Amino acid sequence: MMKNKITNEEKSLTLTPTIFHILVVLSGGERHGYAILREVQEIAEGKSSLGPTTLYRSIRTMLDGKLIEELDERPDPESNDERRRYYRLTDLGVKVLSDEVERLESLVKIARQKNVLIGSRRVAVWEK
Amino acid sequence: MKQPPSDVWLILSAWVYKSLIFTLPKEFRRHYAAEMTLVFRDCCRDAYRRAGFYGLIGELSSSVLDLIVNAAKERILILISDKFDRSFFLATAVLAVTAGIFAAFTDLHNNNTETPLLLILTFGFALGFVHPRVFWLSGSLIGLMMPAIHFIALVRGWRVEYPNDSSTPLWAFLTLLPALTSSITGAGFRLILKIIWGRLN
Repeated sequence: MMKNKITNEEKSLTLTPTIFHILVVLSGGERHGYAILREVQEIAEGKSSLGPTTLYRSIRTMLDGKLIEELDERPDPESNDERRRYYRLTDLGVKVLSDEVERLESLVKIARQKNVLIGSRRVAVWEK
Repeated sequence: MKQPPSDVWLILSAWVYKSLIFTLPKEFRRHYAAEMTLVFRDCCRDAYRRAGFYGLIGELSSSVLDLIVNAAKERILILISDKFDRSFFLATAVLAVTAGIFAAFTDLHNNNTETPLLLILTFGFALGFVHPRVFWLSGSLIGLMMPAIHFIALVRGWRVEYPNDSSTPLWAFLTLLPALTSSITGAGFRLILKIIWGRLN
């Protein structure tokens, strides 16, 4: 059952850009570590320098915060290495992700209203 | 598209990475080391297909940097966490600083390098053997005492047995090499003994 309110414990989890990216990737279904890493690099368009250690530290944080869970069985046991572990979003993970997307959307909306994304205006502000 | 990298390079880069994984805390390694190595190997294969040998080197460098930075963060987290045994940590630190100061003062009053070097190697090995979990701490502290004492000697104008100029404290940083090497050796030696003992029993 999905919770409506986010508890204090859940609030204490810092949603870093890496964790946000991983949540976005996992919203497409269960993935193993390498697949997560590749997809994060793709959606970050080469701007992410996510390495294996950062990836697994983030995964640990998300497991501790119950944003994701490890699958007991591999989706495709025959074609994959047995050592690979698969992860998927929990209900709480889905809620935290959608809340964050909403927050970012409203922030972008405000930014657009204020015309901060227009290059010429930014230059004009700096020239003052 | 380039051919897959030869096994030699892949094995070599995986070996380097696996060796450095030991910088991470034991608990973290136990859960994620095998999978991290697997991900690293996949990254290396991809990097080689994309950019050849230099791509492989680039991947190795960035992964090693990522590993070292995160290992430092993990160690710091343990140091400030409630689970950490502060008295044990403090005892090792005090012993290492004392040993380092002793070796440094021996160096100040000695014209040869053999005696202080021998002291550093002995202390480093002993502390690494006794407290293998914090070999990095004892090695670093023993090694850092030499430049620190030389710097103080230079500032305070202490009389030393050899010409002491502004470059001496910088050269003294080289002491970190034997200090860390000996403490790693001490910790490794204890590990080997533990394995042998386990096999015998």
